[in-house]
Amino acid sequence: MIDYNCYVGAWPFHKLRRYTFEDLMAVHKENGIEYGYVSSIQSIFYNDCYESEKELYETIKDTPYKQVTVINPAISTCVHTLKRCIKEFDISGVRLAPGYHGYNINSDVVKPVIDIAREYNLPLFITARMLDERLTHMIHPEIISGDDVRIFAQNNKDVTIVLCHFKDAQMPKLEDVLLNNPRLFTDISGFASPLLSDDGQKMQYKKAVLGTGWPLKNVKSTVMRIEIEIKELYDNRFDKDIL
Amino acid sequence: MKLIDMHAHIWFSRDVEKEKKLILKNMEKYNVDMTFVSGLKSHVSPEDEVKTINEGVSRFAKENPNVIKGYVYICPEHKNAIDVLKKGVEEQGMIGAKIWVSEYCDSETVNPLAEKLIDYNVPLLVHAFKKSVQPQVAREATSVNVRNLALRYPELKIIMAHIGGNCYHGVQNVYGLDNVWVDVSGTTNSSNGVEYAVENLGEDKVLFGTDFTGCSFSMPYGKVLEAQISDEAKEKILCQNTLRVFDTKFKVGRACK
Repeated sequence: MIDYNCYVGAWPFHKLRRYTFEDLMAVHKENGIEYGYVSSIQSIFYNDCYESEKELYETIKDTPYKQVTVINPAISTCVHTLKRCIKEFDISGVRLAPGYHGYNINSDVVKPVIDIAREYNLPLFITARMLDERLTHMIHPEIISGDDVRIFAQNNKDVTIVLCHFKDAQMPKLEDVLLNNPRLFTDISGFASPLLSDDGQKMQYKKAVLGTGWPLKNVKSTVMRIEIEIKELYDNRFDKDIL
Repeated sequence: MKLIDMHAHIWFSRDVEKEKKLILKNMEKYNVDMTFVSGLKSHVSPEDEVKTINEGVSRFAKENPNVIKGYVYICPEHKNAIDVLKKGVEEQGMIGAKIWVSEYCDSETVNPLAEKLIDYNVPLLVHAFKKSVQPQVAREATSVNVRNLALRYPELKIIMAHIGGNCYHGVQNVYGLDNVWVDVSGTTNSSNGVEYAVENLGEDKVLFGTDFTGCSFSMPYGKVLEAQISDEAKEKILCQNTLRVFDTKFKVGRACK
């Protein structure tokens, strides 16, 4: 299995017991996960994410893990930074966290980033949230709406998109977009509802990938969900890297 | 016995027979030894709805005597709340009481119920969820309300569900209260809540519950299994603490002196 949505780094708003790359490898190994698409938590908060991306690169190089650079399109130098990261770190994806950076995913500031992703065939990881918003205490990020996702997906069908930390309750409204866009996926780190044998629910899992949200969320919950609750819906999709 | 889910639901807004089958099937999948169930439907239930819910839960427990136990669901603001409680414990075999969101758990209307629960020495499971960005639902309690009730009735065994929602708010408000436990149920899939509760309240004060069928079983179960606590603490959380709290011989507060 591959974890399409994980991070390393301390979280500024509460203590995490495990958050280093060594911890990530250990918890993945405990759960039968081969490697992951990993981002730096610090990159969400740094003024120049190149600094944290460089640290991440130095940490994970020589391992199978794939670097997903967090870019803030609201910073005017983001294109320059992204191109540096592509050139120097051989990144495997670009993460957008609009809730923390104060822009809408369909706004003009995002277009240059999408153009680069398209040019270099990099998947985009669209992060709805890092934490359940009910639990935030200092910063309350705007959550990406289903309508915004629909517009974004429809306008960028030629780019691979992975929706991260969306809630399963948001999925029914995105059913047509998910099913009609072969390059649109959703991770299940934000899925909390039990599988109630509903056909609509089963649809969600046809475009789902394993993403855990570690270290802010635990890995075992998601892996158990796959192995015990919904294995028959996955068709061994997660045994190979689909990106 | 190794695994008890002390916080699960039959949602009476759905197909009740399907809900029951889901619970039993889930118990098979995850090797759950026992599940404690309460029924829920409306945020503010009328009296006849409460009656239907409790009859349904009691029936489920009687159909599965060794594996399903029930909570009597109470709306404290109802005039017949004390009668509902008495019937639940004395006739319907319920092992605890549940208050959801129709009334704050520290409302004066809870007082006669608390006193009766102390007589029975059965626990009160209280939904408590502090939210930072969404409005509280109806008269939804937070850990502040739980603390008030716990101080008013130190002999009443109270289980604060969901670690109070935001575990930092929840744990700090019940810190040092001998008669309050927390359960880890619910959809807040954050990786640190179990450790924080154990470190601050003690490994004896945390209970395993899921909120199934409202939440997947795997979410809270994975939280406990992966938590950075000792194996002994996990065993306590997953089973032994619940057995102790629900033991009618186990008393707290002035009653135990």
